[in-house]
Amino acid sequence: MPSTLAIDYRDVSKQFGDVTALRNLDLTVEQGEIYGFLGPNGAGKSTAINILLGFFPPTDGRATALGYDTQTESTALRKRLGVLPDGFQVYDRLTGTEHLELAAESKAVDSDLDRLLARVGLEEAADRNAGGYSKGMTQRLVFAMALVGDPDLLILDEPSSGLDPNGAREMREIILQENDRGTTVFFSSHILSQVEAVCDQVGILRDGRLIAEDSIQGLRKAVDTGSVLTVDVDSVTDESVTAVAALDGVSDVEPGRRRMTVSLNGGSKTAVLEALESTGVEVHDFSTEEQSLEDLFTAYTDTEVRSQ
Amino acid sequence: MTLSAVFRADLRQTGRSWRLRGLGAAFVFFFLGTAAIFTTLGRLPGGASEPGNYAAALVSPLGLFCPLVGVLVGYRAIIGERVSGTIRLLLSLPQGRVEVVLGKLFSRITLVSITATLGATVGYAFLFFIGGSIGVLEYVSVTALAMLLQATFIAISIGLSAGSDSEPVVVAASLGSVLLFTTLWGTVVRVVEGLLAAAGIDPLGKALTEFAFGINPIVSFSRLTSLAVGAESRLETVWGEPWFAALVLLCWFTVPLGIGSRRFKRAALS
Repeated sequence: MPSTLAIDYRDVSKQFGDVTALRNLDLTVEQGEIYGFLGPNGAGKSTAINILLGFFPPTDGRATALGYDTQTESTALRKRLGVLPDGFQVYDRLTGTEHLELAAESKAVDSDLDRLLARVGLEEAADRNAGGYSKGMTQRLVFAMALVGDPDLLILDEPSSGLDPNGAREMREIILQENDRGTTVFFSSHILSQVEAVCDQVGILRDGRLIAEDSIQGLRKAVDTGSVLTVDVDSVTDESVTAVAALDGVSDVEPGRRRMTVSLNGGSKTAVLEALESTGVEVHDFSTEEQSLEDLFTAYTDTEVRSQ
Repeated sequence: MTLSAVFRADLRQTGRSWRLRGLGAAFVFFFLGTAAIFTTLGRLPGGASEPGNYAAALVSPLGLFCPLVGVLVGYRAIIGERVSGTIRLLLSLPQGRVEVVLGKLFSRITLVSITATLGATVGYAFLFFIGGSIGVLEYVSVTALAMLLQATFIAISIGLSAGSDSEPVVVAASLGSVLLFTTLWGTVVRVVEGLLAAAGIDPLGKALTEFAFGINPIVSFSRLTSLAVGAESRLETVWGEPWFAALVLLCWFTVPLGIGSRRFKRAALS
């Protein structure tokens, strides 16, 4: 028997009136993976997740998770999910513990609720009404609800929103621990550093389309912006600039008086240095800077850069 | 059973609200007030019952008060959660939407029945201590039927609450239903009758008119109480029978709720 995919979107589209929120989304998540669902706000990430949760059906296509149809077998599917949804509100007159009781009773499981609350750092607030919680605390609370009953698949929509950097790090640690236990994790974010830190696989959504899907390393390789080489020389000549710009894998050359900044798209820095020296320029020093993930993300999601 | 999880959570969330405490106070005030007026005047204003029977005198004011309370307790049940976003939390858990509607229905009926019982007990104790005589069986029957009427209006308003995604529509329709059944029903029936007559259609026969009046849940409540307090039924047709009144209440309890749940089941939660 072939192993079931944790998540399988097949040609899923979603239309809200005139607005197309998702266009022909094909996306699969293997069991045991941590999948980062990236994209700027409004790209359609929450729409895709809401379809998984059965909040509304897709206009076209089909989505399944853990082998269940997300529309017709939603309740059975949600028994095996842990969810931190987008745009939720907690019950202001229920305590933290009572929220977890609601989750445990709904999933018909016996869980050590105190331990779960302690795990997300809410043991002190367990008996207080959630109406008095801060945004970060409600986020932790609902994350704890998601962990009730050791779910097979965690679906987290912008999990770190409202958390301070420390809280976000703690959440990442828990995500990794859960993944070690075998849980598949699917989480959306518009913050790259989070995705980079934990994800095996990344999908980037823009305007309802999946425009890239790979590992972080793979994406870095695929995107046409590599690194930036800065070379200090005795003097920059027109000839040296032309020679460097003519090299394969050099996308941009910015000449200064004694410094040249070269953007490399897979081009080798040795070739640049050799080209400079061949034109009689003396190289004093050089440094390279890896393209940051933010630049990578911008390269994928900024329409100016990626206009085809 | 997931229904019990919703039931318990809603019992806590709603039970701790000021709105419910206010309703508890309103019930105590209602029963104490009516008891005080009754002992002073020997009857209740607007009550057409025989003098000296408090339970019978209560029928008419209960027929106004209980539908209003029922609607106030029910109308936010689903739409309120959709507007606030708590529904997204609830439906991220393995909860069926119909179970959510039913869990809330039972929770709110329980809560309001407890507050109503509290009010009725206080009212009874008051009458007892000032020396009024009151038939326990009659009193219990009338308040129990009033709670049934109230539960029916909770079901109607939860049906409306589940069936629409617009809070103003739910508020208007819920309060509209109270207004319709408490005061406008007779007029509506008469107007329809008049229009049909003007159109040359044979006016509704007596039986049909009685049927039209009889399908009002508050009328049904009042007819059922006449069994308890021993008032004479003035109707000769089958539509005046207690079984028909019970059937009408049952329909009002189930049909709007069924339609609302069905709509909620298919609703897009965006």
